[in-house]
Amino acid sequence: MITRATKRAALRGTGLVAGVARGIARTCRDAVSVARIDPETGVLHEPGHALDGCCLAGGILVFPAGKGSSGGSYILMSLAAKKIGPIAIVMDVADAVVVAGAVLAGIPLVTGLGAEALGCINEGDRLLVDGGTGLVRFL
Amino acid sequence: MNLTDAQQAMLDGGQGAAVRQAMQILRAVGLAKQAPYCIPVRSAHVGLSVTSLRDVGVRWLESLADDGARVCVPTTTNVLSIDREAVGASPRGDAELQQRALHALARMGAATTCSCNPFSQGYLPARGESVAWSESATAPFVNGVLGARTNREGATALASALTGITPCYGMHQTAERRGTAVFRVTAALAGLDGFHLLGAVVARRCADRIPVLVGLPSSIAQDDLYGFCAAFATYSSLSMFHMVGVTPEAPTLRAALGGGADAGRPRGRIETTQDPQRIQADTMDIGDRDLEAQRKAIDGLGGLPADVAVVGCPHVSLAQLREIALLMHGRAVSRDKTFFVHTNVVVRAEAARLGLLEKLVQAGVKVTCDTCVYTSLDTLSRHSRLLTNSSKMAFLMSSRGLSTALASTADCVRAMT
Repeated sequence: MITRATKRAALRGTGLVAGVARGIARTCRDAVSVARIDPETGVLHEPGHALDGCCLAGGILVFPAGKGSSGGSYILMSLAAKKIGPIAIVMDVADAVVVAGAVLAGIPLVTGLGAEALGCINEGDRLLVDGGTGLVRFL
Repeated sequence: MNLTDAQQAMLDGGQGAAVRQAMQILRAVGLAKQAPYCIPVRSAHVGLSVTSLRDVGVRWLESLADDGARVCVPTTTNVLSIDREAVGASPRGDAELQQRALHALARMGAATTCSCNPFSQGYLPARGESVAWSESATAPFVNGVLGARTNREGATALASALTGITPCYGMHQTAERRGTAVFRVTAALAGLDGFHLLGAVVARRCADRIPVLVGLPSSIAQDDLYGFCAAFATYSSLSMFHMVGVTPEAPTLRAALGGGADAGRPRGRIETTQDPQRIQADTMDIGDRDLEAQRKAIDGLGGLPADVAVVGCPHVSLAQLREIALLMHGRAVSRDKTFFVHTNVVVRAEAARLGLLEKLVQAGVKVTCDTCVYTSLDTLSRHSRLLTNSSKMAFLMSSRGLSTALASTADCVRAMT
């Protein structure tokens, strides 16, 4: 059981791409296809998705799992080059598309938090993500 | 994940920045998937469409080539966003970008075969060998038809091409390939569009269980299997299926479910509590009605006449091109219609040699090479009404807002002439 006390501390996952980022959590409970993020604007377009129409630039993207086209890796790379992508990614079940994309884009990535831990990160929480140690801290 | 000294040296930059980055990708994916180590791959199939690479990705490919990166296993390339021979006809600057991406891959030693259907060009991984192939539709064919092994790859395929290895997880592990749901097919399956419908129905009904199909003839045409695999990959994220009598690992239902001599020791995510007998007891039937229901579910034309037809998703083989030429005999494409047939450089060259290509072009068929209307930079109008024999093409183009419907190859020809 993860309590508010846990929340004041930190969540631990596996750090897959090193780097530290501080920012606001953009969370959703559905799988995300990073290929659906517009590389010109940073806005996710997927009718019916919780983040449809949301600009993810400068946020920390928090979601359970990836899905969709493998071209998503290059979309993350394009977003990072234009500095309109997420500044860190926290996900539960990592997939090769997001992992490869995060490496290419240099986006700190923490995975494998577990569904319960991931669930206690709310939209708008201020987070510190350390992709080297795998720690996600609430600020 | 354990790395050998040679792999650690690649990660430490001993073979340059490009190989180092490739190893970083493979190591991170291996850690994410809890792969115990890396294994050699025998070939790679890499994507290079500029619709996903964009200018940033193309500059990255060029930097890899500049750094001296070279593929160390036979490497083929996926579709382009242009027809190489029609570059001048495209007004878009992106056409030049696509040429640069292709040139960078060629400098790295990849074959510029540029097809989503490398099988039709004779690239057929052998049973039991591990490969790293991108293009989602290829994975079910590599695993389920050829009995070779690949996960669904993207940028990782290029990382494997440059290093010759892949993390050992997923489809590279025998236990992860076992069937976990059984379907009895009673549908008649006349033609390629039938197999496209079957692939879609199986994918939608199996969810995350690896399907085993029984009741199919063992002499299914390779072209029908391409179609089945493309449709399956469109509606499922799985890389594997079994057709008993077709899949090398599935001479019998028992073998497909992991009870045969072919089965390795249980390992990884699939648990031994999955009892083959219980799975068999839950057999689901797929009949003609199910296929017709799927055809209706994706019918966006509602009886309105189509103005565009697309055949060749995945790219047509020479056999399919012959069939289209026979169907077109004595006919011509109507002036207000557009009939696309998508194929690749190898098939088109042979079709030209046989005189087939000239006949089709004279009849008004647009035979494209290297690309398709979905990946092409010169996209169709959203108001187009599109008929196709491919579930994948119908799905992709309807997601772009076009009205689409599925029909047999013969009906596509009839609708355009």
